[in-house]
Amino acid sequence: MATTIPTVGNNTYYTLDGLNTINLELLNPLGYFANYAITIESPVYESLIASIGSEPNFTLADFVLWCQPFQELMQDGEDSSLYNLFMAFLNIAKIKVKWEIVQDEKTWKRLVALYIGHYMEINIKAIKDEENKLSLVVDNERKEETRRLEYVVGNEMFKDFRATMYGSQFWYEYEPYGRFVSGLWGTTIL
Amino acid sequence: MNMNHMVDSLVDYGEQQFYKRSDIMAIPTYDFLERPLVDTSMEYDFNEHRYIPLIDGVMKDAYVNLVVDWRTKDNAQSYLDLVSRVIYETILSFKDEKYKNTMLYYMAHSKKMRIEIQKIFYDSVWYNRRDGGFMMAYNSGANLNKGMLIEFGIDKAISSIAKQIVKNSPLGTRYMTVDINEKQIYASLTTLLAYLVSESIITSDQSDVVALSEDLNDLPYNEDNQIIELENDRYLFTNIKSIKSYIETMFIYDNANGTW
Repeated sequence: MATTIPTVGNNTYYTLDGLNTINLELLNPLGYFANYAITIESPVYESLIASIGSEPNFTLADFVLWCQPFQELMQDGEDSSLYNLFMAFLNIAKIKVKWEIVQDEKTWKRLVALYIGHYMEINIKAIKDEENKLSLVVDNERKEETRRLEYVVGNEMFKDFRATMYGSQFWYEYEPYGRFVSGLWGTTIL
Repeated sequence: MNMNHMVDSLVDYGEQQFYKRSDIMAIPTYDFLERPLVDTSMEYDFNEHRYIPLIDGVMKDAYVNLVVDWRTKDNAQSYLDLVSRVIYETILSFKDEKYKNTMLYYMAHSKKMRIEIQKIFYDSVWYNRRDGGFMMAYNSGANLNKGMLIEFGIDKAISSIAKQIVKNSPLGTRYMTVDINEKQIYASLTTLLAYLVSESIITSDQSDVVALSEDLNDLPYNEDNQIIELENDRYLFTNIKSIKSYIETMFIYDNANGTW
């Protein structure tokens, strides 16, 4: 774990820790090129991994609590046509909305629900396909109607999230956490 | 259409399973009909896959004596056959062509949908007794002064009440709310693998490999099924070719020799 704070299980440091240090030693003609281990016995903080714990279970019930309109659409559980999509998004949501960052069960569950709700909203619009773009049928009667999706899936994530009801709620809550998430912006703490 | 001939055929093949269906559900069990329900109210046309209201049912539940209106039973029943076709096409107009087979399957095998269809039939019988009725949909007119063609369109094929019945049910949705695909959640990897072996989707040897590695990526390549890992070591299995298998194994009535 890349941290300078000594915690239980992560309290040993090496003098040749990191490529930069190794390169400096190589460039020093009088250097010993020895790797010393320094272990701090005390004070040592509690292990971060132990205190964070594993992420809670997230169920369909947690989802429909925050995204109420989906309750009817999901009333038949796995027999609902959108259930597979929900489960696929849940697996991704648990990667994107990191439990290690939020660490509060109620907030984390709401964030995961809103994240899924955001993408479900987009997908339902796509599935409805009111423009008949995904149809092989020629529908001349609809030509005069110019429907278009209200959102633009852009390169910037926050614009994307703010395009839907659930996405904007999600980003309002998650933005402060977002700066610590690797791959988004900022750096990861784990 | 010879209705009597069709009824006789159904009696002869009353116990016949028209669709192959395994134990795993798609339409929920509480709503599922193994085959279209035929009674004194409605007949089922297995060639066109649609319910057809019967004169007695209309008399009993819609309080309309069609034999008086149409003079003979045959005329009245033929009229109801036309009503059925118009209503089915109107319902299908809410969906794209690619969902047609799925929708017809759902309408044939759902108890709830059968009730909704019956309500629309009876509403349409009343609608057609008013001026115009569903024949309005067939009408068009040309205004030569303005060079305009006036069409009433499919909107007039059913009444405003029937349209609301459609919109208040999955009949009016753009996409199915119920997944027609066969799906099942398995409580462990062991039970999932046992099912896959029993259905000859994988071999015992392939099952042993996955059981050892506990990695679904070790399953052989398959485009017919979808397996999603759920919480608590559970697995959701979906046969995404279900509707195709229903159509392939469906019995089709042969008018030439009266067999299925």
